[in-house]
Amino acid sequence: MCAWSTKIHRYIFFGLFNIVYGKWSIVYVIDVLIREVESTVGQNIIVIGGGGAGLGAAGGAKAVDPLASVTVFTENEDVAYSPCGIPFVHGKEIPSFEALFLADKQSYVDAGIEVRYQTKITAIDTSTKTVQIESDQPMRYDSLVISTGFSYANPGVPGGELDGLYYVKNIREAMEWDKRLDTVKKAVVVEASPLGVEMITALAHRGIETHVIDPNPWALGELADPDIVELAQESWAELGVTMHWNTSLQEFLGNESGAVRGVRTSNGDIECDLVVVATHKVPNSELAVAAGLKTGSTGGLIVDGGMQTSAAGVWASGDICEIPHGLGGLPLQGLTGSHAYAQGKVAGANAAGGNRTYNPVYVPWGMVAGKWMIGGVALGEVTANALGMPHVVAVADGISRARYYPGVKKVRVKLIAEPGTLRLIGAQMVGGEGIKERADFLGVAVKAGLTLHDLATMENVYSPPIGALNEPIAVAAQKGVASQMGR
Amino acid sequence: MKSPSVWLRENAQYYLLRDAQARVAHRHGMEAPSTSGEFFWTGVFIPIYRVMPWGLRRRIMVAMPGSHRKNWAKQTSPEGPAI
Repeated sequence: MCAWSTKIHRYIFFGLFNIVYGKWSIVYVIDVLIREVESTVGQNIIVIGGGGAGLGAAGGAKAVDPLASVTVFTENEDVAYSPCGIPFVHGKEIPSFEALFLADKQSYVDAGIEVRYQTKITAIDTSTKTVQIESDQPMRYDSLVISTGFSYANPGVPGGELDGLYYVKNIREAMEWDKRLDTVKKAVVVEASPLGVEMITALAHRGIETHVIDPNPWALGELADPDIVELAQESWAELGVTMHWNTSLQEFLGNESGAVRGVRTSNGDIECDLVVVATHKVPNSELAVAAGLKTGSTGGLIVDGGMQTSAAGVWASGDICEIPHGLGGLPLQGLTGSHAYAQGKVAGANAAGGNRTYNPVYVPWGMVAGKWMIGGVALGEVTANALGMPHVVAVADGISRARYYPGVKKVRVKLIAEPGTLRLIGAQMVGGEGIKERADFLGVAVKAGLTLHDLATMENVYSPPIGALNEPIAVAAQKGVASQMGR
Repeated sequence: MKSPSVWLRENAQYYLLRDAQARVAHRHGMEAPSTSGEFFWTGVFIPIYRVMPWGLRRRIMVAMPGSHRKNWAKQTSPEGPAI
């Protein structure tokens, strides 16, 4: 039942009773009774998906309407864990998978959120406002949030059914794979995507002979520039990783028992015991599309700034939807976990009657690759070139601490700016530390429309253990300004 | 079956990215990836896209269906002094 219609009925009833009888005490008693009834028949909000976006939505809905009935459906055995941490357990940086769980099942019960585990929704009917639960009756909703997440793109080559192909996502499966990794001698990672980069490093840390194949000419080819990933690739080579760039997967090769024994590529066969498939993320939108919801050019659901979809009473969040980029508006799909959670909060709050907005994104990113950290925000040199966006580039190599302080690391900063105005439109970085913080800062700088002039004169923290005299961002900006002025 | 807008974006993105990677690799003195592919994309689409002015390219991209055509909050600048 819609909370607002219930409240309106209550106020009409309250008014009529008061006019006719003028007896406040009776009216008060009835009002209290209605409140009690309302608390048991509050609006019914259904969330499909138990990842960060789905749980963010459930929490967002409860925060706006504590009386609402919020039910989360997930096909998995667990919710509230960090799948992003899985590569680091495999790499032995994190001692156990238990550390990845953020909350136990009881905490959702205590919060008044019903989570239905291992339960599949097979259909959505937006006209009757119902979802069909597999092997059960349809369930009615007042508001629905779809947060069904992503799948790895199907490599589309023969052998996809073989045992030994690992798609890193589910924590229970990861626990089983982790035991198996103890017996793996040689592994192939298909594509140096963000997850692929982390898995390459993890497998190499684990002492497994690791190969990476990727159709791009360098790691993170759709995101990062070659001079940024160069150091990471050198450190992988030091760890014994063999890199096969400009190389496409053609087939998974199997043995007579149905297990993978290698991969066929455009540059020959590679034998292995395990293949990590880290292709790009595609939205799990079949359910939503079958219900008639509109999708955009990314294949993700079209949403507005309130995360509402094309269907009345239906919101979406996370990897299933597409979000416009803050520069130019081109929609993007498959962002980070923090984006998904924040979108879920907005979608859930609005599904419960709130009025929150999500903003276009600039996508600060960062990760560990080999012994380096790499990161950036918005456009890089490659992506600006691909779009055909006019730009200038300014690069500086600096250091993370005072040059004499133990543990000082190299930091390279590359700034991308609009010609003429020198307004910042992107950045990429590599270094031993402090990359995440710089990416976050530069994300705000792009959003705020700062220029290289602004950054060239920025103030910076100087403290020998944590910051050098000259901030590499400022030095890069100074070079960019000087270059524009012909100096 | 993919919608026309998904098909267009996937192919345009793939070929523009390969072309950009080759340009950037060349600038950095690296081995450039192959930019071969279907003639329409490599021989027609890429050359035409590259000669179009940025403003026109942007208008075409914005005309595609997607979330960007829905209602989103505009960036606002603070007014007056902070304190």
